Amino acid sequence: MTLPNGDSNSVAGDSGDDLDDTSSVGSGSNADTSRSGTPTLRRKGRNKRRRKKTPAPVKMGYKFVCYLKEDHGQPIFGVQFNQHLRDGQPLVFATAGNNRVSVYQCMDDGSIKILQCYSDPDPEENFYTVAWSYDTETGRPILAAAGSRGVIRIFSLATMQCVKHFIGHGNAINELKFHPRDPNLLLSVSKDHALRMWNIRTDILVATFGGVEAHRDEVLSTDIDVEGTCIVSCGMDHSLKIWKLTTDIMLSTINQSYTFNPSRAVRPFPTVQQNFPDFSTRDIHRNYVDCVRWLGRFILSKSCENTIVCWKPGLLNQTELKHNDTNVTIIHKFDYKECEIWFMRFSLDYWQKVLAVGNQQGRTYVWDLDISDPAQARCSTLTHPKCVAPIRQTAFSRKGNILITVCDDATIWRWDRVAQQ
Amino acid sequence: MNSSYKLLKPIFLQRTLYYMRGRMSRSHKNRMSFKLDCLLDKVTQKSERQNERPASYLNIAFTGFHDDKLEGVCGDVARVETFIVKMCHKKRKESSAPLMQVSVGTQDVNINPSEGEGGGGCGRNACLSIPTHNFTSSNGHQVKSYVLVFRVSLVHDQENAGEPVVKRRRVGRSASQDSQDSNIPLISTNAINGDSHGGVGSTYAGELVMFDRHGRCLLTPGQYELMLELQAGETTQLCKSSPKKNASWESIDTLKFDGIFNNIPVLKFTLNWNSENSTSVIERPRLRPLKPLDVVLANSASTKPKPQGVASPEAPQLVLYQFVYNNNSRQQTEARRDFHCPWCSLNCMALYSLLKHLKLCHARFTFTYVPHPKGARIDVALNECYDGSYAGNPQDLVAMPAGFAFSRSGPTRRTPTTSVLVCRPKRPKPSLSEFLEQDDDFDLPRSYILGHNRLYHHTMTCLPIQPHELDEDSEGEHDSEWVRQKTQMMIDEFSDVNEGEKELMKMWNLHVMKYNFVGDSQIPLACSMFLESHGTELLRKSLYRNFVLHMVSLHDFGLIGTGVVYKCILHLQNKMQDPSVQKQLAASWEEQRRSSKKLFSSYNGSSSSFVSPVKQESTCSSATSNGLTEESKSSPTKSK
Repeated sequence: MTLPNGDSNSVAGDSGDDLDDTSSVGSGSNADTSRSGTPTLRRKGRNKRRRKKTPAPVKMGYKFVCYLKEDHGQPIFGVQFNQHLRDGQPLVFATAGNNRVSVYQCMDDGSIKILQCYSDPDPEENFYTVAWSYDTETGRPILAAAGSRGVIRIFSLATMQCVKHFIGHGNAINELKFHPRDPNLLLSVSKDHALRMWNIRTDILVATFGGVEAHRDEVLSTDIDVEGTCIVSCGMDHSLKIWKLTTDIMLSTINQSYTFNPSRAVRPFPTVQQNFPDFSTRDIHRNYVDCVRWLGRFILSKSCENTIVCWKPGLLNQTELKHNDTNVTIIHKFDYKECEIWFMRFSLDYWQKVLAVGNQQGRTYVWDLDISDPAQARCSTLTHPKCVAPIRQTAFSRKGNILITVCDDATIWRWDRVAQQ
Repeated sequence: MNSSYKLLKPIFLQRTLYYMRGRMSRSHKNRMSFKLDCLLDKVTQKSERQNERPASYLNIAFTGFHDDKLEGVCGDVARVETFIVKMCHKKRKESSAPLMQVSVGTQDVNINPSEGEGGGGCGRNACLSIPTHNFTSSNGHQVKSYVLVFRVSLVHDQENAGEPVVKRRRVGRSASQDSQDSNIPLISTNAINGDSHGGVGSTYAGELVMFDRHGRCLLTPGQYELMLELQAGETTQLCKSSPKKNASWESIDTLKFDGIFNNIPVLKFTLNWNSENSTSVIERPRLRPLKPLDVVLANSASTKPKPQGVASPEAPQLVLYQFVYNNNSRQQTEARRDFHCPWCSLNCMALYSLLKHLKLCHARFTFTYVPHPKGARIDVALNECYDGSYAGNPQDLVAMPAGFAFSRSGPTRRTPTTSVLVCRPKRPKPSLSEFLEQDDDFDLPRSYILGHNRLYHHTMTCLPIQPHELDEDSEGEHDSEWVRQKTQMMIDEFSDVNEGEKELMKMWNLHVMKYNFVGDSQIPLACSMFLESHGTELLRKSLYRNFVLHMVSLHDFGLIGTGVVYKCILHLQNKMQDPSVQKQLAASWEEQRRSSKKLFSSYNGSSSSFVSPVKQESTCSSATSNGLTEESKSSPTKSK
């Protein structure tokens, strides 16, 4: 492993770590093996071999509209649009940075208006991620945020309160995701090598995904497919793992989590301890895998190797997941430049037609995926002279017409789609 | 009240004030002799008692109205109108105390009569007699007190009367009463700025309160000089209701009495209680030099409950607080003249109570009592042993915030935290010696809760253990689900063992893991238990021969004797008698025959090792020794 958690960088080393592809990376207690501090370190320079790329005829362009800067000056790690708001409803997104969670609205005149801001009582807290859901009874929006303290906070924006918190993760939480079908199920991935699924309605820990065959290092990212049948997770152990949610035990436990009455029960809730993923591979990336998304039955994932890989488990025509399948099929690679630090997230719009990722120089790469052949995917680069800090995460509005990127220097950038040429 | 309610919502006693029981003034002695029938008698007796005023008439002889600013009009008369104002107890919902005012007479008084002249100009004084039945408190409202209000109006308007007066004070009699009671002597009234009513400043008013709150008469016979206030026309309220309501903070030091008394209009009169009505005009007595009245009012001779100074009968007047800090190298002294707690201002009223209070309620400090010639000295130091740890319910630390949709429905179990409800230790006789410096704090009250209120966590999920989960130990050590799963997966990965063998290995290994057999001597028991729980399943999976072979290899390794092998086989064959099992066996035999025929026909007797019509038997032994499970795999033996 050639990634020192050192002074200057956390840049993915390009030295050959092929050797430890087969051997498991050191396991043990979380505290000792994690090489990551807060993923704030940035890498400057590395400008050699920068080629002037002649942009292909841009089918879809985004133009800079405005930017703003949060006054804490610390990196903003997470940004998410509230995709539950439909057309005609306000365009609302939330950011996570420092000990703050801020909620903004994109105005029609091109500006960004702050709506709410929550600050953790602990100044040491550093929020990494936010996720949107809604209250199934009232339909009011719910915002979940988590970060370095490992406490998941649930905000009710209507009452402007932190209505719940979930304690249990043994270390920092790197990403939160809500189940696409069940807005009460929250998935959290943590530095403690495990994933957890919570029922935030009944405050029950439904399942933990971790153990013997699970991740051997920090879990960095996760996603649930649109049908809610499979979880994919990835982490610092270079591996990507798929966990089925359709097993009998999972389905029954999720059901039970709604009916379980803790005040009546004698025993604690029978949380599923899932130790065995349904698929696991280390063949896609050779470094920290810091972002993963489902794209239909395919998976998009990235490491710090300047590429987003679109792949699927098993052979191309294989539909079933096999436990000890060693095959993976790589479908396409989206290449970009100067993105060699970790904890850089890409995003897709709601309809999964646009893909965007930022690099450590403040450039944003946008691909149009609405094509029949992935090779035709056109890449456009968004730049702004003042946007030079690493872009940690991007977020599209539901329609994909607004792109928000957040940077290490606490800036938030808004790009609006321009009419097709 | 049923007891379960108290379990859910125990009544926590905040503190005990036993050591301050002097604070409670009422006793229950009267209850012992109380009879309902006597109620009326008591009331009539009481009213009769109240009628026993010093005399039946209150006579007031006005000697003069003095105002330095009215020098030019010496010899003129001012008109004094006297009112009685009844102040009644405020009933609930009434915004202000009801007042009733009665005029009892108007007299003419000389303005600025010269004192040396004896009889003065006229030699007679206006005199007012008020029958005492006016002061009884029997009609309707319960009367709190009566106030005599004197209003002096000048016959001639004075232009210069409106000069601003800095401070106005009414003094009932003399300053000697100051220490008597705070009700009367120095009542500061809202200063009325004379500028605002310069033109109409011809009316002066003053009040005398007759009874204090305990119903004691404050108007003792004597000569009075009543300071009057300039009134703003006719609109003024006659009585300022309760004097306390208008009280404001003033520092006594800043008042200069001499200057004030010189400039303020004063009404002088003589007051006495007499049995007969006085004539309206009496001879004016010679004024004697004023001397402090040393007569203590007969019935106000302080019937207040005295603080119970426990150990020191002569209550010390001075309490010195000596703050010791920086390793006893520095100190700071502060003195107080009362027994108020310096931190929370609680009036402890006695030294013992004060010390007890300090010790119990301000545990961050240590207090040591040192006798002092002037009173008491209390050494205050930081309590190095202060235990500031959280002593409440540990669940509150991780509890969800209240509100939103989280109101709990129905009863929930609470964390068994311990709080002292009642504690009756042996209580020593109260003595100041317990606050003296002690070599060994052997008799200090021990903390009654030690290390109990803690928060525990589940080992697997790291979740806080809820109160209702405390009874169950959720942490099983062996035979976790993941170990079972991992074992099966590892067995599945064997490439040199056939499916039937793997199946039996899984069943046997999981069985051994579950019951944790650790010694060779337990193997016979393990065998019989295995057949008991897995016998039928074994037969269903057509693993009869695999099991027999397993028994044989166990015997080969010397773990079981032949008798055990025989018994086990017999046991298994007994299970075969079950008709459902037999049907199953027949079906599987049939199926195997068919599949083998098919195989044989298609491959035409190829020498594949997987074509045996029944599941291959092999030595599949899981010998347990020294707690370890090891699989010895020998080459499969073909049958048939």
